[in-house]
Amino acid sequence: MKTTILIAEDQQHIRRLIEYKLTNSGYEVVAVEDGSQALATAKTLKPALILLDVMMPLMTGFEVLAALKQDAVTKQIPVLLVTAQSKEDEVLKGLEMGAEDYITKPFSPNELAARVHKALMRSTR
Amino acid sequence: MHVELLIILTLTAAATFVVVVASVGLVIHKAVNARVLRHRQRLYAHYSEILTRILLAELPELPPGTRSASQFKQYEQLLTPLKEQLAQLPRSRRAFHRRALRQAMVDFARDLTGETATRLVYFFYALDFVDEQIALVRDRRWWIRAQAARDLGLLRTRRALAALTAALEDPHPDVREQAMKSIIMMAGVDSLRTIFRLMHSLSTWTAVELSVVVMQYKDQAVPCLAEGLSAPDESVVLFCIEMLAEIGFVSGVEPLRALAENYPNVSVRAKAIEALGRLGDERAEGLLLHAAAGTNVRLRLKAMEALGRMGVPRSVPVLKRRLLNGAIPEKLVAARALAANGPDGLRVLSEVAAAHPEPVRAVCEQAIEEAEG
Repeated sequence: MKTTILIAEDQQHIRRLIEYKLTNSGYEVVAVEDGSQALATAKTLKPALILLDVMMPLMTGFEVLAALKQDAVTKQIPVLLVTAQSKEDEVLKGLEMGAEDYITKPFSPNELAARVHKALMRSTR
Repeated sequence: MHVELLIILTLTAAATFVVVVASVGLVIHKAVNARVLRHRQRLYAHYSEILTRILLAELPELPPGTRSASQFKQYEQLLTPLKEQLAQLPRSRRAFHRRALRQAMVDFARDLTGETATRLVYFFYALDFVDEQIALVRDRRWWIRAQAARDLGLLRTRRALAALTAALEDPHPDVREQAMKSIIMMAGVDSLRTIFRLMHSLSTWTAVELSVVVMQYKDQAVPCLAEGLSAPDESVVLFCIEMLAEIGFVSGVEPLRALAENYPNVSVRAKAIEALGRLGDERAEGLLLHAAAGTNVRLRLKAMEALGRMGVPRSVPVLKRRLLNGAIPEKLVAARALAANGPDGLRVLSEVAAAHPEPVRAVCEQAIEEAEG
């Protein structure tokens, strides 16, 4: 059975690109476009990993992350934050809140896939 | 009576007709706009999808040391179907499609790096978008020019460097700022030389953006900043002075000294004196002592502040003279500078306080209190 990854990203073209890349890397991918959808889908789907954009409408990535970490069902799911390069404080905040790792924009799709793979390896250990 | 009624009725009917026609026109206009927007969104999604596939398409690995021409050949093969698809479109529709494709490419460029970004830049060149984008930097609308300048930077189109350099002299500050950022993105620290030579009337925001860039390069930027001290625009000169002081590299001392002595504008000379104080290099002491005893009150104040910051023992006699003879603000600056000179300065302040009436005594006591507190 394929490993399921949830992507939460509001920009359509980037969401599609990440979805395409991870699907080609052999994962089952579910993509949503805002924070509240991400939270709801995470609870029902229980993915192996969540790729979470920080800047999203309705709920920010941080709000989703906080909610995920408070919920017994989702708190063990590793979260990778996708953040803007210039925002070091965002990275630190995310890691303190329990994110597994982070990826900064602009990013290399190959590196993103490698980071996802590594994070999944760590979580299954 | 009948004629008047007829006129009123005719006018009412005409007005109603105009309102109805205008409303219908507005509705049609909105409907057409909405349709165009939907069409544009569909095209954008369509080309995003195609780009996603060709950007992420797996390519056979080339042996190490292979010339980039071989890699470009691979990229060209990926692009061929898209080129053919565009070529088949009628001329009028092709322009519309190309706009959507270009927008999708720009949006991808903002978020991608690595080999995928290299591929994207190749596509941008190969689809002949660079010249179109360069033409937009000369558009009559400033926001189009600014956006075009930004996008050229995102797509690292080095062929656009000349156009971007020209945009540094654009009448609109946003265009200048975007051109500046794009040039730095492409050409690195050395591009600061050109930027300082051509930029004018730096806005606060542009200066903040530029300072972030300069602080990334720090020591490497010092030669460019030193050269920027002879820029034709005063806002650029002031910026370079501030950054030299901020970086604190001693090679900035000599050019700052020359500026503090010879620049025609007093504000710039005052800023250079302040910067010399922040750098704290002893080569500036002679100049600062001279300025502290000079005729220009603004330069005197800045020089005394600088001497106080540096703690120069031989400045004590000059500072004492200004404490006794200057106006109240000058007395206060001189007293604080004396206090910063350690025990010698504090002793002089105590002696002056004991020997002179108000306001000299109050100023001395305040400076002593601040130094001890």
